[in-house]
Amino acid sequence: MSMSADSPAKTQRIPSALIPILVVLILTIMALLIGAVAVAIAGKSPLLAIEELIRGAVGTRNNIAATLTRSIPIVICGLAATVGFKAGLFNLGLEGQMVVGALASAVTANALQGLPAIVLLPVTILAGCAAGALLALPAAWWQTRFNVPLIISTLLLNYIAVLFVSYLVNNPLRDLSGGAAVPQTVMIPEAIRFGVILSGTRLHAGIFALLILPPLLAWIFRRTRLGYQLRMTGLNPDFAAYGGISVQRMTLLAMAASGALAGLAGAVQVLGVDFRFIDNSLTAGGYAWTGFIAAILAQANPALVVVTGLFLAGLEVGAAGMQRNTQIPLQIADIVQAGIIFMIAVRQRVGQWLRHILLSEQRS
Amino acid sequence: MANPVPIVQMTGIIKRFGQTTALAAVDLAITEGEVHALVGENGAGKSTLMHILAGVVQADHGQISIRGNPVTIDSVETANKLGIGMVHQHFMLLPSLTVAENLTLGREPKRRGFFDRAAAAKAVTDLGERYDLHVNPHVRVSELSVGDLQRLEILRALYRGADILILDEPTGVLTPQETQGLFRVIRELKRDGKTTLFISHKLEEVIEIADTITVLRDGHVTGKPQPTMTDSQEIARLMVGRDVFLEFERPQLTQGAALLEVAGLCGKGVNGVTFNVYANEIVGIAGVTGNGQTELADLIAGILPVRAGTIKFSGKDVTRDSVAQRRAASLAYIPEDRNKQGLAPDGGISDNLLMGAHSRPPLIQRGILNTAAIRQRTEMLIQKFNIKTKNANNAANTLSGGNAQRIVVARELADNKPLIVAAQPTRGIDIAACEFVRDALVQRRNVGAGVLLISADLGEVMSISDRILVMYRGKIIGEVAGLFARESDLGLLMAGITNVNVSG
Repeated sequence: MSMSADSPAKTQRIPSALIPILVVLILTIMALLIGAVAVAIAGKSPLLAIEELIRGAVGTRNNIAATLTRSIPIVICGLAATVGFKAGLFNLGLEGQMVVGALASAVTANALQGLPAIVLLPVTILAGCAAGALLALPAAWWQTRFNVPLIISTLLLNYIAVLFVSYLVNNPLRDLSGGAAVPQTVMIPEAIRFGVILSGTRLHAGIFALLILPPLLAWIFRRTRLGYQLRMTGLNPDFAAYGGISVQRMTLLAMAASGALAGLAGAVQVLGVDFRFIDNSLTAGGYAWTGFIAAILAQANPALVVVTGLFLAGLEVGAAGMQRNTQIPLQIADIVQAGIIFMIAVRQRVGQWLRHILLSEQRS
Repeated sequence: MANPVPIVQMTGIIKRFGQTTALAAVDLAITEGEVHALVGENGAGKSTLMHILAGVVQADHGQISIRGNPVTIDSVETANKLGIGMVHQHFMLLPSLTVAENLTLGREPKRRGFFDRAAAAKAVTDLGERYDLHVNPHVRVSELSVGDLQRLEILRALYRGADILILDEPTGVLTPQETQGLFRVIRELKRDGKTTLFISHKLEEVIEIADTITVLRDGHVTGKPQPTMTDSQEIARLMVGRDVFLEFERPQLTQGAALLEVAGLCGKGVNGVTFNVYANEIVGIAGVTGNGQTELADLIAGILPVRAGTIKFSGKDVTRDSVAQRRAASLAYIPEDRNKQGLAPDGGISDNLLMGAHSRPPLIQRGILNTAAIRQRTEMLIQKFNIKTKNANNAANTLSGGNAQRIVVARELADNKPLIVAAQPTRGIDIAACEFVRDALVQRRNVGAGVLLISADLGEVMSISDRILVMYRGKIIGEVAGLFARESDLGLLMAGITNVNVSG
């Protein structure tokens, strides 16, 4: 009947908090190996591919800036997914929430452009968050009220949101002044655009979100009653209900917060990169889905989302560089990402295996 | 008279599951035609040993001989061919098929290549006649009572030609009358020369039915007491390895004020229940599992919606109050299933101990957790309730069942709430933890709490209740004073028979 935790033989010299990080590393290396095999099958040198990939991601000041810039919406979307995971919810509607958030912030900024920047900037950001939250809430309500699986409703709401926003920017909200071929809104006031923080690159002030949001979320999860209620709901909803936590309320709250963060990612793209809403610019980037993968890979740990988000951004940026300099297609990045998703299926096994090895080594 | 060669001889059986040794070189000899009881606590290895004999799992080391011939039992099929059949604790029947179809499943009688329904039905009645095991062959299994299901499982083993019948905790789901019926069947089987292996932890039953008793503890055989010369105390000592107090000292107390008043309560599975629980008393609710007891507890706690009727705590109507309001007011609730409801198994011990108190200053101030106060409370509870763990942040599922139940009990009894609803508080835990939990409930009763004890274990209900209510099909159909309770009377009530004089 010996149970693992209380036996004195298993003193933990390696803190178990390190295990998730090791799991991420192992999964990533395995996924990269899959990519290397794919390159080899294509008749190219995997070593060259990796070299060019790394050079493309972090080889120059410009490339580093590109990776960092790309990581901003990815990490914020990853954090949005993380909030859902903590409450046991799979918000697959990040992309739609991001897109409505972006449009709402662009429209708000233009509509209220008479306001001073110090007021207009937060209002613009809040408009993006609110739009994202509003798109996420119906799905949460349907689940709590009618048992409609959130995973389906959020996924399908993406289509409605993305196509409806596309209609809006093609028709009533389209900027006809410049005669641009791409459907887009009018540019937002210059005063509220995020400044570039690395001259000569496009790296903007949105990067600070990566420093502020993860500790804030970690604090909420670990140190507040709300965070406790969310975590318990995620761990065991029956237990939460038994203990007096309203699972319905937690589901609505977590989805609103998750949608708000996805909307924030959209607003940050508008404020820092595009300075207007451009049709398809956010969906083509695939930020929301990459962010979702980053969150799964980080096992819903907000600090780790920054690491995995940066890694995935670097992978995508690096692959583009690799394609430019070699004949190796950038789709290799997709293969690696697919490999990661694949690896996630065996994540728990890797964790168990690691614990087993680490613990038995310590015993000997 | 007895055959000198044992019908089953298991020698040096070793079985490990990961780091845990379930069986450490166990020897077991079974004489043909005997009723052999295997007793031990949860995790002692009795089920594992029988699973090895029945081919469900394979031993790591050791030999098995059947009638003196060494055999390798590598599958359930092999065991069946050797005449070994097992009736599992959880029945393995197909609910949508009839009794006859279930009985013959896999070995269907055929006529011109098609299933011979008449022959299958005849097999049910023939076997039933022979062993006094009557089940209607044409009824769908989903419509059978638990007792019928068990009879069908035994019939199925016999149909497959079992001479050695293994019954895994067969009486756990039965009323005392049904248990007596099962014992008649076992005696009938014995008369027919069959050998029965009987796994149980109900000691009085074992003494009544067994010819031979083997006691297991932590994967070792610790004794083979003679049923005619032993008693529950001795067997319990062999099971636990020390003296066990099966009786509780309870001073006679006068009922205090009404702490819980339930009137005309209706909801899922509960059809018009009325009773009170007063200060200084333990009210036991007995009944066969599935007669609305679980739902009654969830209704009182506010987890299930009330359709009609009222619930009052200390005179205050709480029928429309939320779970949180009821808990904050006066309710402690030990739920029936700790892994489903009572714990977040993947959550830390500290988080699990905080549930329900997660809105109360000084643990939480203005929505922010006071980690120092929480840590202090956690450590106090771990110590006071003797939860064995090295680190309060370890996940609850790293603990043994008894230890995990201590978390639930510690959390619910921590704040000295006046009203305690305890549903199956000792299910699936070791004897030491059992004693501890029962003692804790009695202690609270002695200092003025009211306890509603819901348990499928009649022995538990009878040992600590001041009054016993019996639930049947969502209603309370009888009340017996704890001191005068007779198992047979309760059993009749549990079976829904009310026209008996239960005054004692």
